[in-house]
Amino acid sequence: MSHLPTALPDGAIHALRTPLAALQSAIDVFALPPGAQMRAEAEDIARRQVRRLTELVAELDGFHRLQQMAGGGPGCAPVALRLAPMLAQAWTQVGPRPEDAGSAPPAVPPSLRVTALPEALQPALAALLRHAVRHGLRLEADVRDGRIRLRAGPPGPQGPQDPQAGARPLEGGLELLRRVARASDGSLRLDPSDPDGGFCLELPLAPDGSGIARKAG
Amino acid sequence: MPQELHALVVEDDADSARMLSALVSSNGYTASTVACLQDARRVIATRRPDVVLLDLFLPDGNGMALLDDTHLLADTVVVLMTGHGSMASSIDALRRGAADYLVKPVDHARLRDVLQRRMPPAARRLQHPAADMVGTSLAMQQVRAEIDRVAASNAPVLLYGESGTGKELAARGIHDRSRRAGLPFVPVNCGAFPTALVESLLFGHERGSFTGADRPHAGLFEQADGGTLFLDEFTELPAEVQVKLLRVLEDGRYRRLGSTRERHGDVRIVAATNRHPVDAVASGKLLQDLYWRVAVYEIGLPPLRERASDIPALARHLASEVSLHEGRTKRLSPGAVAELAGRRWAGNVRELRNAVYRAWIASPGDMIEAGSLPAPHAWPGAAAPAPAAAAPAAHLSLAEIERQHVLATWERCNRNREQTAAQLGISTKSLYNRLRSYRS
Repeated sequence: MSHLPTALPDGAIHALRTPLAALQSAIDVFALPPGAQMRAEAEDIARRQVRRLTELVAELDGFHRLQQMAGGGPGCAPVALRLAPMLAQAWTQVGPRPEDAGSAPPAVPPSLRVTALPEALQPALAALLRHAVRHGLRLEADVRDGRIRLRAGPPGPQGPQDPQAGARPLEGGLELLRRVARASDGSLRLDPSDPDGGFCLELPLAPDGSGIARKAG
Repeated sequence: MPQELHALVVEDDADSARMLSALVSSNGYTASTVACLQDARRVIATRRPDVVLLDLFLPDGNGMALLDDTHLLADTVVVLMTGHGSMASSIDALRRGAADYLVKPVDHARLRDVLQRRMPPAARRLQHPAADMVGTSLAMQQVRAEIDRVAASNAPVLLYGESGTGKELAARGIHDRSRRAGLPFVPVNCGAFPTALVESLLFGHERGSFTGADRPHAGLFEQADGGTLFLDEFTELPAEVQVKLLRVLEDGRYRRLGSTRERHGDVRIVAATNRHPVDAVASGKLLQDLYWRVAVYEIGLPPLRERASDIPALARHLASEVSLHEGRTKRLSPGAVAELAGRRWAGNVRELRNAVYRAWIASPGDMIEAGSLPAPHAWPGAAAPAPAAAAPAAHLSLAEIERQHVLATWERCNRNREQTAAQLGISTKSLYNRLRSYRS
């Protein structure tokens, strides 16, 4: 795993600054002369930005854990994890709005396990679901040949996947997902035919008999 | 010399844009937002802002590219919004013509400083634009009283009056005196909308709703939420858009183009037209239903010729404004004031302002003499002075005499329904019925 990048993604600082800027402005709007409508809106925006900051910090923690794992740090080894409850928890974190009612987390068998760092996989899955909800993508799971494929894309046949996509920078959460996949000998491939940003995440299943969420080391 | 200052926030993060827009509005500017360079160019071409707050990282390119559009940004101050990591870019931007930069997260005190510095001195002095409605004539006193009366309510208002009579100033006055002051005041000229985009500009659109709609866009109704939307020349809106406007006025609900989701907005509408509303309805330019919705409260702005006694004070006020704007004091001589007061101003205050500005430029000294004034415009079809009242011809029927009297009073009162009805001693409803029967 020595090929893992050690730096945070380029856009991390910018990504943090964006919600911080909106939060700061929302707080300033609170200080303006009373205007019930605008105050309510500022309150909504402040809550949303705090949530976004929490997500970003979780993602940065995920990057940090991956780096520690790459460096052989103590307490940072991948473990077998049940995917279904992690997806369900990520779905709760994403908190889909009423208008996203058509969206749903992909159905995966409850016993299905993958091997990964939980602190990295959890925010990465949340990023996956958030991306899918934001772009109105449908999520589908498919298990074969000892691997699970989570595809996010528009309904219909899957387009060809971009073999060069591995080198292309992604937004923070998806970059984390890609690094999590690589660390588990999986992959994240983009669908270049989909302007909405469809992609396919592939992870190897944990070997039979692995412990469940039992940290090694 | 803009009557009010407008800022465009170019920021792709919708929440940041919305909050920045509220902060900008609280500093005496009107504000609108766009999320990408393409929209920025389109909006600037429609209505040139005084200040552009420009983010660097935009989905369709680097904000810096906008600085290269020197023609588009003539007379517009560009203030860059940047992170610490982009200081090199900021320096480059300043070299390329940006006037200033703000570090993100933007500090409100610093934003206020930047906006205040960009205000012309006259605008700094006149933080309350309605104070700019100079004049002590009875007509202006009545307009001010009506603005004060209606401002406290949430009622839609219809302003009508000839071009240059100060309809936008009056709309701003209503907003500033209302409980919505400090929230967005979004003025738009409906006559300048490209027909194909009018619905999208007003109500917004979702991504993919039409060719080129590659991202969702918040319309003017969303931008004005909580505040006031000033629809100037609203009779120029296509009939199908007037129908949609009717619905928004009814219950505040609307949909973005391409969306099935219903949105609810809390927006006060102030509409304006330089046509007389009754004429606009009669000629089919304005849906009658929309007229009834908008005209909950009507205010007629008098033309300058109807308040000639205000011209001396107005001319001196304008000369002082130009002096502040230009940074050198020049005063109108009594002769120049008398000359201005004796002219007819078909273009109203706007024409008077231009004449004063030209005379200010032409005057070498500190006193603007009558000789520096531009020659009066000979407007084709300008209204002739009203003939002296004459005794009605003996052969006319009583109904015809009444008709002529009603119409003459109507014109004399600058087609103000309340004023005309009061002078004739009838109700406004009776007046409306009479006017309608004369047209048919």
